[in-house]
Amino acid sequence: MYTLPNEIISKVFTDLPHPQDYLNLQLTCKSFNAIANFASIRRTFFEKLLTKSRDHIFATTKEKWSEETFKGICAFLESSKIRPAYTDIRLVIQQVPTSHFCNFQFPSNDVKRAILNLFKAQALPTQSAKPLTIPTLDNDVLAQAEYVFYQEATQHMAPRRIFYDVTLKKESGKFARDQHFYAIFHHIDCLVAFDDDLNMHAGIPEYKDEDIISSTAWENLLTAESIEINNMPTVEGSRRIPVGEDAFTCTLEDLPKIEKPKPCLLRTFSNCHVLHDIAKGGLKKGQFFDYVFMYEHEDDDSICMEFCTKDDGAVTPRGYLLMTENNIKWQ
Amino acid sequence: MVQLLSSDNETFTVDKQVAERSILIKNMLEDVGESDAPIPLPNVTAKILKKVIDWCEHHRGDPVSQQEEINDRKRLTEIDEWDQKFMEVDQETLFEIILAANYLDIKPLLDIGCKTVANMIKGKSPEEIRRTFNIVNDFTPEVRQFGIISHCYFLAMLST
Repeated sequence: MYTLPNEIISKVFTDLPHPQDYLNLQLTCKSFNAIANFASIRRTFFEKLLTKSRDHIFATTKEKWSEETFKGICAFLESSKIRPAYTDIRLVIQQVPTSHFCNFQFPSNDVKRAILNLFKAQALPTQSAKPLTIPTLDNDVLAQAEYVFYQEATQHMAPRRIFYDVTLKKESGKFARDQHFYAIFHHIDCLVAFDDDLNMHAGIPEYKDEDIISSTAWENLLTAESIEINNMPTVEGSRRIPVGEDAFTCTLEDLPKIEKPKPCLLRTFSNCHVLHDIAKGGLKKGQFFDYVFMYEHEDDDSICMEFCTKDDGAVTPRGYLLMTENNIKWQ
Repeated sequence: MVQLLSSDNETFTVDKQVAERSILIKNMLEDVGESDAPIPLPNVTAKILKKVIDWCEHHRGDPVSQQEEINDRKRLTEIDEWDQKFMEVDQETLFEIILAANYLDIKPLLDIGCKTVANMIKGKSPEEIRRTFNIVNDFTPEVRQFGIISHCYFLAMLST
């Protein structure tokens, strides 16, 4: 193969049918590794891999992207550095971390809107007159959304929700009441909002219980020697997306919509001291806990902070807080 | 009819329509106008030129203008049976056909050649690919041991 010029090697790369084949050829030698890393080659590979999906989206939704828009979407996916695990563009987009939506220089608003809309196919519409509510205290609604897409946690990504057609119900930082957003990416510890002109705004959710207000750094709640990020479901259930070859060829239509996301164990804090008295469990300021587990509550949108001690090998809960989203600290 | 002269001085007489599957030859013919002089092809041997002419003869009726569109549609599918048989040659010949298709600017033949190579790679491990194509693993021992993480785009996601 050394006799072939780079332009032909590049073409061989883009003709490979599977990302694993691409990777395997890349790993054979230094020069192929260098060729495989060219953005233009990766982009062409994405374009070939996802053409069928583009045609399928057009056939099923009549959403027709221009060639330029499709190429822009592929450039976005390519520059996120993901290895596509699927051939359905609406599943590939779910592999892309939210930070990439903030950092990527979108070539146009058409491309940006098309990318943001990729999650919409699986979003739940408003079922009744009462729109979906962004997690917050029941009596102090922060915002309401017309659609939401729940994305479950993976090994590499925390759970996220993508809200569409969102209206603020109270003043929040730089935004007045009734501010409207096209879409909001909502994570436990950060929020990325796109207004109607698709300008990006980042924010940090603040949570509250028993008059303690804190971000998920819990700087006002506890000190910890170490933090482990878990992002593991706390309830059993079948995997939504199949794995391996089945995943590669499955389409969004093969998958059930997520009506209710599986709650996750998000973090484990070790060797902690609380910074406040906590009524639920009668905990005292300065008290020591071997572990504090941070997990999504099964029944509502709050985050449970469970304070535990280790006694004779057994981990025993001593108290808890149910932190509910209180406001957004916009940056 | 058009005469083509290989790098080892063998002359082939072919239909103009067949020869014009090559964009290079088509452009040359347009440039020189009516002429009986053979067109020199210094980068293609007689053995490979004969193969290329065979391919062009077989595909003489294919619509050239729509070829790109057809290729687009077929790009994720298999190579058709005749072309598969055509490409059942030793590796050296396969690469020479690809190089000739590239030089002569015959895009559909180049596509089939590259797809054939891609199919030979499909499902193989890096070591198997190296053995198949006689590729030398020139990564440093450290990189080999630690999985060339710093060099490789995709590896970080390998465990996905």
